[in-house]
Amino acid sequence: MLRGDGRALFTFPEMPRDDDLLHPYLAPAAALVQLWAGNEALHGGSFATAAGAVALLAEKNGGKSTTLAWLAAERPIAVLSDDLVVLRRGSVLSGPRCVDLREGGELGFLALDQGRIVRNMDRRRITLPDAPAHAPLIATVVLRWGRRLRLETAPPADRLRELLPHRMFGHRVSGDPRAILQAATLPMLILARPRGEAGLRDAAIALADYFS
Amino acid sequence: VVYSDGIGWAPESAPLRLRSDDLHWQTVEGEVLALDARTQLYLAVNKPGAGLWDLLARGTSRAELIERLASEYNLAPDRAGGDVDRMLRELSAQGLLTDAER
Repeated sequence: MLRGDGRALFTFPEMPRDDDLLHPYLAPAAALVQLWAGNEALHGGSFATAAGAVALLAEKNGGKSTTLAWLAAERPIAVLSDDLVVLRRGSVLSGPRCVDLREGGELGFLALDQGRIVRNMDRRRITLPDAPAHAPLIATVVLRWGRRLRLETAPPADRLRELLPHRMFGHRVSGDPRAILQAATLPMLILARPRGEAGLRDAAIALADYFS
Repeated sequence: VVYSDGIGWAPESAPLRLRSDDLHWQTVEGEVLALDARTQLYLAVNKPGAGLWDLLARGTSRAELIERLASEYNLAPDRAGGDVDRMLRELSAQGLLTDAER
């Protein structure tokens, strides 16, 4: 990582494919540049509602991409970004127009005849329609696995604890602490759901209804 | 009571203030959410503490903190003093206090 001239240099054992450069390798490079520019970068996705952008956060394999793909396919909701949420002056920036879904995952039924196989035959890449270039952040949603569907609001005291683990590069690259604090002033939802297609559908509907 | 490095023993009227550099906070629903950019420490301060936090941000004294807490929550001075000292010890241990006269 070369700081100073705005370039991020990644070294690979072999040349990655173009598909892989777009995702997953573009996200950390973009995150670094945004952090260096004084913005904030979170590992997560985002979608646009009529009121503004919602950031969707979860641990790795926590259901972010499948939730976003469901919302894009089943509701008139624009996905702004997958895998990276850049916060700049209170707004979320839009990202590349694709979502990668795990082959055989929860959305297999939806994506069977869509997209193309990428990333060592491991993911199906679904193309997203155009979206606004940016939208003001209005809320965050943290996804969790649970035995039953549960959607509840997080009290202010819990919000930084929920947000900070999702900072790209953790604390190794400092962003704008005011951006994280600003995000913590906004409503936060905790959405827990069971694994599987039914759990995904119920959770995505609950999310879409909440923000409709 | 030792409130922060360099202050040493502090009388009731000794000036106290939150560190102004690399310490950011927002008030949300009456509570304070704070982030120390030096250490990445984050704090959530409840409503009674948030009132004290505001005073500390401006610069205050232990006596004023106790008086504020006691009057706002109808506490005996001893009880309020114990709560104030606990908060000051915690803030001091995290390096968030400085001498208001510096």
